[in-house]
Amino acid sequence: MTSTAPSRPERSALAPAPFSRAVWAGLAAVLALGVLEVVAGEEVLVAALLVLPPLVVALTARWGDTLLVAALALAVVLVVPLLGDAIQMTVALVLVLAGGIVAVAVAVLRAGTAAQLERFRLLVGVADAADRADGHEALVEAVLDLLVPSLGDVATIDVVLGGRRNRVGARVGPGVDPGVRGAMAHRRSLEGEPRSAEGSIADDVARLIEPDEALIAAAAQTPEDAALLRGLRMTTAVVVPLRARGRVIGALNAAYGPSRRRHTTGDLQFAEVLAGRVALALDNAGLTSELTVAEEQFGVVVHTLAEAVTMNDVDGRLVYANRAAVELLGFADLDELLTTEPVDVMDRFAVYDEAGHPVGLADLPSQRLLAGEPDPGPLLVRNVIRATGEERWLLHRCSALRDSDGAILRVVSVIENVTEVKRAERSQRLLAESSEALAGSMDHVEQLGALVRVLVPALAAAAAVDLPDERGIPRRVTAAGEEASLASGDVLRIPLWAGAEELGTLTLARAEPWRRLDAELAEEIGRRAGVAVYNARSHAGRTAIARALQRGLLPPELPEVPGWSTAVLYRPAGEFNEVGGDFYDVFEGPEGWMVVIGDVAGQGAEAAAQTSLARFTVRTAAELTGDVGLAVARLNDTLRGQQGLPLCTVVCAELRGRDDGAAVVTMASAGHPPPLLVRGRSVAPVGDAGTIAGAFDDERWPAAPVVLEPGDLLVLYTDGVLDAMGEDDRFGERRLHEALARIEGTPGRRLDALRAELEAFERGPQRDDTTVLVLEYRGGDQPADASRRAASSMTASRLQNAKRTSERPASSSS
Amino acid sequence: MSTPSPAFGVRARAVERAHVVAPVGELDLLSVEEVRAALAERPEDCDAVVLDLSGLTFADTSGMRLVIETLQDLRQSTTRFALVRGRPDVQRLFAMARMEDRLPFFDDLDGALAA
Repeated sequence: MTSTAPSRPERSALAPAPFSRAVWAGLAAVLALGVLEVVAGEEVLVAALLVLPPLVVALTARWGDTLLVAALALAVVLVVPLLGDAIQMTVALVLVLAGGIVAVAVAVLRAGTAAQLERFRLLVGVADAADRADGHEALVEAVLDLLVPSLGDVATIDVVLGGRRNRVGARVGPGVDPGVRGAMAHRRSLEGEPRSAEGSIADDVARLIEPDEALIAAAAQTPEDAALLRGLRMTTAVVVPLRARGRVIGALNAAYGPSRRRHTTGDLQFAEVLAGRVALALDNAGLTSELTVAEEQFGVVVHTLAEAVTMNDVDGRLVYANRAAVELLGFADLDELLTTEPVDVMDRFAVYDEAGHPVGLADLPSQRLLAGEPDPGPLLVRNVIRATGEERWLLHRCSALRDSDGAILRVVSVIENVTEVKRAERSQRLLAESSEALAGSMDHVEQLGALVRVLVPALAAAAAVDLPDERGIPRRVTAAGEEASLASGDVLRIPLWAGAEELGTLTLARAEPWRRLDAELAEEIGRRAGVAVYNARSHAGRTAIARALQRGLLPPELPEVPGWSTAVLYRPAGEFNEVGGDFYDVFEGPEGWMVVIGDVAGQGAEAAAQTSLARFTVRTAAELTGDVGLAVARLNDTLRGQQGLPLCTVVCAELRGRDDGAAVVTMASAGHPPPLLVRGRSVAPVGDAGTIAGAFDDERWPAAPVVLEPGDLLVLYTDGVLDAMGEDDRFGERRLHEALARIEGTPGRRLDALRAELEAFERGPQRDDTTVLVLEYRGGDQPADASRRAASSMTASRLQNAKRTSERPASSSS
Repeated sequence: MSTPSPAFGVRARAVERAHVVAPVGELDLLSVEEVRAALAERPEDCDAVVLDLSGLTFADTSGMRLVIETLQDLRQSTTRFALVRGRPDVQRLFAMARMEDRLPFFDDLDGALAA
């Protein structure tokens, strides 16, 4: 260890302070004796008494001050006009001179002894403190007790922990502004400045320095601190490395100011010796030895940890923070953070708990632990940086480092930034709720209504959806929240995408600006809403198309057939989007009226398309040829040419009047339930069925005639009637026959009654289309118009029929 | 279309070198896919496929369509197709469609396997 010091006169700082009260008293005594001499006249005794003040002063004052008093006494002896003789005067002079010399010699000797005694006291004090101090903090305080005011008006102790200098203690003497302690405790790092603890720690050199304005300016954290430090009017300071077991563990710093004393090189040397003892004591107390090499490495790990880690001392003061903590708390560097009061650190943020209640410094787990709460649990807070408005979710956890008696030494806090987790959690919840809202209805307006109610107020103060109407003009279909903010707040417009198609716009507004994550969440919700709207619309669309298609399959009303009364019962299976395959048709053929009833196996849009194909194939063939067997064969050929094995049962019948007043119904059936002839109360199947259409190539369907008398009814139906599900069984042929035998009246009345019976019988959803066609022969039929027999006019006729069909008002004619 | 068919099940097993599929319950639009899947599981090298309709309480045109479909599929292979007759209600469907004579119906499983 070396030491450096400016060249100064040897004057120990541990000697008495200059111009003590004793000095002034001595000087006053000398002058008083001089006056007394003048007044008392020839009293020798008085002049001789002038020897006493220097001697008395010498017992307490510095030798220089003693000399001053002695010199004054001598001057008084010489100057005061004595009335006595020259001998008396010489005796007095010699006496005072000798007394003065003795006094100064005593003062010099005494001063050295006092300094040695003081130094000895300090060394013993350190040893004593090392023995008695309970823990290193008490030791630091005890050492500071010794240093101030003996070795300085102010003193500090720094210790290297985890590779960093830590100011573990600061002390100011009596008569020093207490604010100076804070200014010293929180001073800036003086890395690279040799005249500092950092300098001494770095190069292991003890220095006697004169703190100047530049040093104060560099050290002060704030202008207020600079003013406080400047107010010390520091004269000298000793900065000494603390050295234990061959390594520098810190530095000791003591400065004079208000007392106007100055350190000597002897003081510096003594400070080095003292520092050695202090260092050993601190090392033994475990302050620095706690940090082994492994622990130092651990310290480095903590420092670079992604989680923010801070350490508070028992006063709640921050003594350590890792890099992540400095960043999280928004400070430029560690020193800035460590030198800021915890309250001021807290002031930078608006902090709330999960319920939105404000959280103060005292509510943090670390502070509660220090306040005596045994085990404060983790605290999740919403932390908003006041300066930027940035919002974070922070999880505070802490644990105490305790000594063997269980007293808290340090509180270590881990602050985890869980913003992403928290936001993701909230996003997931919002997404789930949005999806639920969208799935809650098949109607897209209802869906969007539910959606905006989910989004307000969770995500936005107001939300609205606009969809273009038929003319493409955006219309607001739903809105929630304060509509005013849709105009004034921060507005986010989210297109509702379904694939590449923009279906509409979701508008969200709120007072605070949209963060990227929330905007992304809103976009995702927009995508889901787009798809949901698309699906709802297209589902509605498919249902509408299928229904339209189905309606298109069937004549809106049955045409009037001369000589016949007709009625139809048609009940499509009610399920969504599942249009069944029943069809029927009544139209005029070349030789008579044609009646068709059929059922295509399957349901849904495909079945609807095949049903359409079947109906028009039969109709075209029947209109062109009037041959019912050929019409069915044509249907078979068409179905065989289709993919997916469409099967179709069908009855194609031609109604023709006979000259004797009866009617001949010529029927071809492809696997269809046989038509029933109702005559009075008898019900009988008629006709002869062929193979179902669509199953085999090159089939033939022979036509079979049935004769009807006036008043007879022919009932054609599909298997949906027979298969209708009741409680225990199906409606079946027997029930149908019984119903038809029992029911009376016009075809329309009979069908109304049959419908009522079916509905009374049925349990559960109707699974299949149900069609019943009733043809009552009234007689007096007229031959079909001969002009329609020409094949060449068939197309026109068909068009004409279709037109006529659509103009007919009633569903049955009589 | 959400109500499942009451108590429907399909059992598929190998008997000698035949793949025997036996649906039980009501064969309709809702249950037909299960039978279709069971039929499709037949081993490549099986000699015969037997569809045993004796366990059915009901069948509609969906079932008939499946039967015709299977018949036409197997017609193009060397695998034989045989049907075990169902109850009268079920057979009525095939009778009505005039399919009874066109399909290889047998009175029981032994007959269907022996043929």
